[in-house]
Amino acid sequence: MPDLPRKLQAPFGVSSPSGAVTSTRRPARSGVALRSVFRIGIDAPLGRLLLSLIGLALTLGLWQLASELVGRYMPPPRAVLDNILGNLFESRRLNGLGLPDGGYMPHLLYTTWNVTLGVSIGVSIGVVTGLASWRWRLVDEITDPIITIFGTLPILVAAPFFLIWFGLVAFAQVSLVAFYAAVILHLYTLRAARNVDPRYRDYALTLGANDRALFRRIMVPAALPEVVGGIRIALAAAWGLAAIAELLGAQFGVGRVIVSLTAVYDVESIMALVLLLSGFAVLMDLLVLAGRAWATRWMPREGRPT
Amino acid sequence: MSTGVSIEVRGASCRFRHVSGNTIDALAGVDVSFAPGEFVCLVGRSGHGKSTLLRAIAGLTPLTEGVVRVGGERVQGPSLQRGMVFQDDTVFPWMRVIDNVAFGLRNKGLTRSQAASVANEWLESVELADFSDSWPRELSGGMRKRVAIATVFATEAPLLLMDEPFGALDFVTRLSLYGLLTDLWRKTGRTIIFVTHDIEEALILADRILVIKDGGIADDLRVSLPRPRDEDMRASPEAVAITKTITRHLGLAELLNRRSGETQL
Repeated sequence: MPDLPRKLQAPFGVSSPSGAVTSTRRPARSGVALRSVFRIGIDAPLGRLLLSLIGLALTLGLWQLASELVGRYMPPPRAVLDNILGNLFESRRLNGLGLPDGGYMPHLLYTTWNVTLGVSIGVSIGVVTGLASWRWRLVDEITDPIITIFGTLPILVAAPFFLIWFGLVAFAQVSLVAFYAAVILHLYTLRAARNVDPRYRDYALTLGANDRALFRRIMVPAALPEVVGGIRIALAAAWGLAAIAELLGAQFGVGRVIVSLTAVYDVESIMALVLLLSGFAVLMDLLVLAGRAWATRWMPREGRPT
Repeated sequence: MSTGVSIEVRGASCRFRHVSGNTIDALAGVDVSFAPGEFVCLVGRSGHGKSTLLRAIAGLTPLTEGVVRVGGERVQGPSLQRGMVFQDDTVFPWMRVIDNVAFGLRNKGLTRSQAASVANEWLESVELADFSDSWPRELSGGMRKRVAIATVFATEAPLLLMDEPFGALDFVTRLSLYGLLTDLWRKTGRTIIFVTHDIEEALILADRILVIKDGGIADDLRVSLPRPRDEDMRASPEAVAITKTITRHLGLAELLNRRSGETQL
């Protein structure tokens, strides 16, 4: 192809004597990680992992920079990591503040247990009332205004009532979490049930389905992916709710420890606890995600909720 | 082998209220009977009442007036005695193929293992034995229709109602499903009422064609062409005469021969 401009001959390959392109491979270049991400593709697991690592490195870099600029009240990542390792199971700092033995772990487990219990109770109540509202219009008419009022109630307004009514015990925190989880799940379940295509119901009825079969084998599996979405939202909110309830008044738990640490300006320990709590929250979310992957295994990959 | 059932429709009217406030008579006093084991096609243009009549027989759409009796019993709601295959893809996507076919059988009271064994036999009949553990999303549209056919036949419902079941499929897939359906019908002797807007489809499948127009029955035609009905059969004088009659009833010639100047550009 002597008459053609060089660019049009074989842009990424070598022309054979007959003019056919024998290799279309672009010569490999040693480049930055970002370029390899785009070559691998953002959707590929390796590409996503690389991007996550870039994000993590950026956060740590900015954190380090901020600690150097701010000083004492912004401890560097290394100091917070040392704090976590040094206080996880035994902590003189906490003992010095009059908190029980055992380091951060018992408090983290206490808050995690309250969140798990509260979300479980709330999800059970919300799913049942949501389905009842879908099934019986009377129930929907009665619950709709209640849910609307409770759904818009700010948490900082509601939390003191729970503490006054139930005292500074775990029950107050669990019931606060359960209350909000129930409101969220009621709304998600009702919407999910209403979104189930009526043609599945018709088909099931012509196949002799009674109320029980309709509910158990049609409504539940069809609505489940959306309901699990609600559980994720409830869980994400629950960590904040449990911590707020503990901040306002509790004998134990991450929120209680943070109150004590704030009084002595121990920012390093507060950051360590917040990071640990986030780690627990991420682990719990991964568990729910695994559950959802199982519940939606019948869906086409592109149709699954993200 | 189970046998079909007779159906009697008397004075069936179905009135819907449109959002504009006007009422629409989807069915206007239909009187018709179907004999046990008949394969009847309801042919007509969209919106003239074919599907409403079928849904009324199924018990899914209540009648404003009149009565439907299947095997002498008044239809008051959907039942396992009247299987239905819908135009849309209704195979439950969250159940594996075998569980879809076993669904009606479980509702009938069969144990899990009994239902699975009957379902497997029916999956073999529709040549899907190798896909019993697949999810519906892993099958083609034609294969999912075969799952739906196996599901309704498996329940031994004496009456099968089919609402344009093959409308969304390509021509070759449809031909293979016609063969499968007529074969199963001959072997089981069920009564089948099949809605279609395709005259050729009706000629391939039916013993009898009801032309539905304006919520009523415009004509009741017998099809005595021998089976299987290949293209020569469908070009026979009887088939051509039936096609002409249906075309005339539906006013298709007028639709095709628009007067010059009628189409606005």
